[in-house]
Amino acid sequence: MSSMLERAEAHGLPVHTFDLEHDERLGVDPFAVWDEATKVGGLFYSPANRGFLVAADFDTVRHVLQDHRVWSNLPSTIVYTKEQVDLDVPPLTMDPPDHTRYRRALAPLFSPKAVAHLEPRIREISHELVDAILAKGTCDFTKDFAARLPALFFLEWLGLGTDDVDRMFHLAERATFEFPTQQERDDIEARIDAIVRGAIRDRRDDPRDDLASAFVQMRAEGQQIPEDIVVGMAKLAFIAGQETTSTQLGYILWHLARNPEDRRLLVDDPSRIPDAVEELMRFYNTGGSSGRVAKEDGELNGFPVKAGDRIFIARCGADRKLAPQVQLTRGGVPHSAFGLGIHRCIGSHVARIEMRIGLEVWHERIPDYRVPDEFVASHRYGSFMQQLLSLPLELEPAAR
Amino acid sequence: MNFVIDTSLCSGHGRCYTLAPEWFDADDIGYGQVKDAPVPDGERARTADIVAACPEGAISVKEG
Repeated sequence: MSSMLERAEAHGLPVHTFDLEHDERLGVDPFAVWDEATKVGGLFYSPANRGFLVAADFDTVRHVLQDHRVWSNLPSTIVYTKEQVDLDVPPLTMDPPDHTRYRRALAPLFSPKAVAHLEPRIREISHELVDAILAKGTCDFTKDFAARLPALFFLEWLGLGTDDVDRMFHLAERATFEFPTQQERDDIEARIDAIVRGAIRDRRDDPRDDLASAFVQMRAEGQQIPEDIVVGMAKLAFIAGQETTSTQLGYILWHLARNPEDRRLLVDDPSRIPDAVEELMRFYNTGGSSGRVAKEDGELNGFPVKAGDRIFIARCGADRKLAPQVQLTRGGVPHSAFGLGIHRCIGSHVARIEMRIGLEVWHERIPDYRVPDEFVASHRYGSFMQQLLSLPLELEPAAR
Repeated sequence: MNFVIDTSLCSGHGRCYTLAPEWFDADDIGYGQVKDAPVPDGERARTADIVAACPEGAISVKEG
């Protein structure tokens, strides 16, 4: 069987070194690295680490993520690192028909109608965070707001309480931003497993009004779900419910702090916030995806795919390529920040409420803010996402 | 003219019923449904935006 590199060369596929694990430019200007990659072509081969294909325009990204017959998530593996590391967070780490069964069981818990009632609590937490920031007088938005709101809200909803929020948020961070060995990854997942398994077992005898209780009562095609799978899904919720929204909020505020005219649009008319969130998710797509591995031979953009081929889905670059500028009132440009296809983010409707309410409350209370002149942005890229590390802001609160 | 959703592609992003609640609705789990409301010919530009905004490419327009 010919290697990916040999086939790439034989079929004229561009070869471009795209190294998420080691490229230090990702810490300085990750978006430049994405934009450079998408100029190479919609599909290319990167010889970095173990070698992998890269889907780098929207059509190719969409094709791969929708073609679950060829592109499997089983085993779900981080494709672009030196060492192969497998994950166990169902139903992400499943293919149909198992995936379909468990996704159907989960979906009603996260639908727009099912999560609408969470809005008042999210608003309350947002106000408390702004109160604390104004009392302190200074602010690092990423730590004082973006990282706090999703963790405080989601851990409470999940049923874990917030007494231990710092440790739990740190675990979600490790699961998202490390390039772990298999042993390290297993260790992180085991710690999260122990936390959520405790809550799940507790709710079997003592159901409450929280997500852990809903997980316990969940049925798949009328059947009880094995505990390990319930716990696995709760583990995914624990990670994805905290770190993702937090990271996205950081980039959204970074844009608004540097672009006063865009900020003014939202302050003057908060009903523009939902569309603005979609556009900023597109332009500052936090990027992460572990990629896919071909489970059977196929074809992609004319390239002959062989079973075992690895592909990384460059969603951030693909989304930015659709339109090179931010336009907050834009209609008609899609994004893949919530993923595409059968594994699309099931928590997206909750995440949207958190971002919308967070931005509404923030701009109502602090309509004017700016990044200090001396601030130099730095970013980190982990196995799943890129993140703005800090965002100090000079604040001009609204008169109350 | 009417919208059509390819249910094999829809994965519940919710862009359609957010952008055009007069023509789309969410089902119980947040997937898009076309409402029984015809789309006037004068809305062609907006129609094209809605079709393009669906990240899955699941929405098309049926003439007539």
